[in-house]
Amino acid sequence: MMKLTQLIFWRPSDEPRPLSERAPRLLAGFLAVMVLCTLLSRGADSLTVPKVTVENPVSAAITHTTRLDGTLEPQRETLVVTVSGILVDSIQAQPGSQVEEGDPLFTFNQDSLEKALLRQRTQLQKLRLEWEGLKNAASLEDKQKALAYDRAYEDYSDAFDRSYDSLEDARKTRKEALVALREYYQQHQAVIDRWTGGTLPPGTSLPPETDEETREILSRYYALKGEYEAADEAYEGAQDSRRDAWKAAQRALEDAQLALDYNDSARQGEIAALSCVLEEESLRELETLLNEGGVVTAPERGVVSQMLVTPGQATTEAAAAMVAGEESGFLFTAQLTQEQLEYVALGDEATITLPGNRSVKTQVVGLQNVEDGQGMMTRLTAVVPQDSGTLGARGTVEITRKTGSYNLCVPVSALHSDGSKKYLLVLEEQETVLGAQLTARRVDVQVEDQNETRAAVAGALSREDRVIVDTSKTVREGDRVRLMAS
Amino acid sequence: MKKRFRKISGCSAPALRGRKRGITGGLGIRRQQAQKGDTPLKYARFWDTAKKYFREVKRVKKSLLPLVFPGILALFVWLPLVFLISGSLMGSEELTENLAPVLGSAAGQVQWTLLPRYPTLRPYVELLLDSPEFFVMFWNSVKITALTLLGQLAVGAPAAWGFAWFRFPGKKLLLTLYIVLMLMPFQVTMVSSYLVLNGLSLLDTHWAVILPGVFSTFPVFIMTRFFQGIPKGVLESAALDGAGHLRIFFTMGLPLGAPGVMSAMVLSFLECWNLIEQPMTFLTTPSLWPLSLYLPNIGPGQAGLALAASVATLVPAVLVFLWGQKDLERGIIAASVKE
Repeated sequence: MMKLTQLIFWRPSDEPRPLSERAPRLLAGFLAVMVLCTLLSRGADSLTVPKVTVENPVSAAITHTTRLDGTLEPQRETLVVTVSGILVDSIQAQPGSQVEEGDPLFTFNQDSLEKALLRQRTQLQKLRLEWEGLKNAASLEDKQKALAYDRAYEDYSDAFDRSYDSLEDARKTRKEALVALREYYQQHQAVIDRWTGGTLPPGTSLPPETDEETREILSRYYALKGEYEAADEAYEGAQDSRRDAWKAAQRALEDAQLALDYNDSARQGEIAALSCVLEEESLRELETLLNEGGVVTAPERGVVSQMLVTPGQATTEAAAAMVAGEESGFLFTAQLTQEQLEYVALGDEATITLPGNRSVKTQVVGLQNVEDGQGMMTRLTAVVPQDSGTLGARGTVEITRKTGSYNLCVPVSALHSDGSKKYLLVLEEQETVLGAQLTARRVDVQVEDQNETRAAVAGALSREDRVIVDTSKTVREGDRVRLMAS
Repeated sequence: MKKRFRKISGCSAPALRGRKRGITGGLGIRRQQAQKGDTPLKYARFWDTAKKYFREVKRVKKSLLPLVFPGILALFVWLPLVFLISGSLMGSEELTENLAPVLGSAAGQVQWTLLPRYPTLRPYVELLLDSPEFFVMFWNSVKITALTLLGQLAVGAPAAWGFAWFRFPGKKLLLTLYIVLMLMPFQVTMVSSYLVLNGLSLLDTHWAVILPGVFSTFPVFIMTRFFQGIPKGVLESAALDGAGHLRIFFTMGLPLGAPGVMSAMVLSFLECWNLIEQPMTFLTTPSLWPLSLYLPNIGPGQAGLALAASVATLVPAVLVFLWGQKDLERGIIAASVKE
């Protein structure tokens, strides 16, 4: 009891105790502090060491799912074309409004329509008169051309005969000259051969001692020879003249033949006849419009996509309105980036989800490159049945493509990037001062393929490796980690 | 106030107290005289005070003069410790700057200051709260040291008692063998120890370090010296009173030889606490390593941590040394006396 009282009311002595006496207590205190610090450091360590979740690489296929937002567009748009130049009185269907077949789209001004009808009738009458005149002109032209042909043929025959006679005369003259030359030569052959013999050229001066008879014979011989050569030349000229005359006559005949085949007035008449047909059609159209009170109606059930006429203004040659028909279904259109295009192809199965959780299975029927404001995009189209939705409705298309099986697939969250290099962190057991500890080891890999959740990789990795896929804190190579309790 | 005055003048406390009384008492009389208008007394008071002051300074100088040279030598001995403590209070930037030539990031020589420019306890916080490895090794050291000391106490003390008081054939030879074994460095017995421990399948366990320590011959040698110093008559009286050998050992031998036991324990503690070669040779699993192997495992960028760890390692050794300082001095003297 006494000891307990002393212990309770113990007060430190005022006398300083030597350090050697206090040393055991200080040592005990130091050890106590170390125990406390051991616990604290362990606690801090357990808080600072990241907890990780691991997975083994698996063999799997990579499924690429492409999701795109798009809208329902008309598969086909019908143009509403009407007569031009008539004032529009009022519009009954605004763009975007639903119309049934025969519903009024817009109404023409009655006066303008009647005036147009009158103009059309007058125009038709005028065209008919022109057509009649052209028919008569064509008949007359036919007769004139037949006559011209006959005349050309006669000229051709006459030219042929005349040229033949001239040629025959020249031939006779040449023959007679030749006969005369041969007869004279035979008569005086000795004298002619002695002096000429082929050595003395014509026109050579005879020697002075030549007698008169010889001189006369040779002179006569050379004269006959000249006559023959002139006749021969005339014959050649007659031949050329005959050929030229015949050719000219033949050409004239051909021209007449060509003119006979072409009748310009007849062709003008045919054009006028066709114009009459068109004008009659326009007239009928105007008459129909007038009978219907000038109302232009929708050609089929659908939505007015564009109204191109304005009240108070005349119609033009262009379409007056466009109606997107629903009877042939819709086109779902969406835009793809070039990266998404890698996993979409024509004919791929697509699932389109439309408002009201309506799901439509269809196929990709079109991939067309379009220039967007932000660059080159690809427009995807898929046909959607008529009863799947309404025009302009927004929806989501989902296209799934599965690749071949890859040997090593890991979650995308396991992939880390170091510049252009990709790597994984793999658990490795190391003997440390704290005992067997798990550390993160870096394994460089090449990504062969990946989607939003999984990546197929290649590298110094096996299926037995435990790949870190999720961490409570940032983990770097060599960091100690511990497994998250499952 | 007393302490402050003592620091300033270097005088002993009684002397100061007397001087203080004298000065203040004198001043009181002089003040009364001065108030009466006696001005020459002011100068007399000043000269009295100055003479006393210079006399005291001269006396202190005379008494301190013989301590100057040993003090300078002691300064050189204490400098590493001062550097260690001041370094452990430096920030990593300051340490990196000072140790740049050692770390290979700059040329020249290491710069060191007695006091840190920007003192911080960050290395200690990092060591004590963020280094569980340090504590694993610390408690390994505690375990190895405690078991070794207990073993030495259980084995060495009876052995020393036997050498001191029993007569048996070959006693001198055996004691000489003990001394020879004590003088052998670890490198000599390393291979044979390794083979024995391997044969006993004790390698890579703490027992590979503890058991050779338990059977160390050095504590036996020291304790023998102390047990031999116990007066023979005291033990014979106990024997006449009917006490057996064990009773004499536990009730007379151990209490009377306690300084020797304590001395042996302190020396063994210092040896076990600083073991490096044995753990490096016999322990391959890092989780079994003692604290003495902590520093070699610290990276070059963790100089602050290393210095703080050194201080923390030093503390138990210093405390144990202080605890057994008196007995240790006697133990060292006993060990130095050759038989």
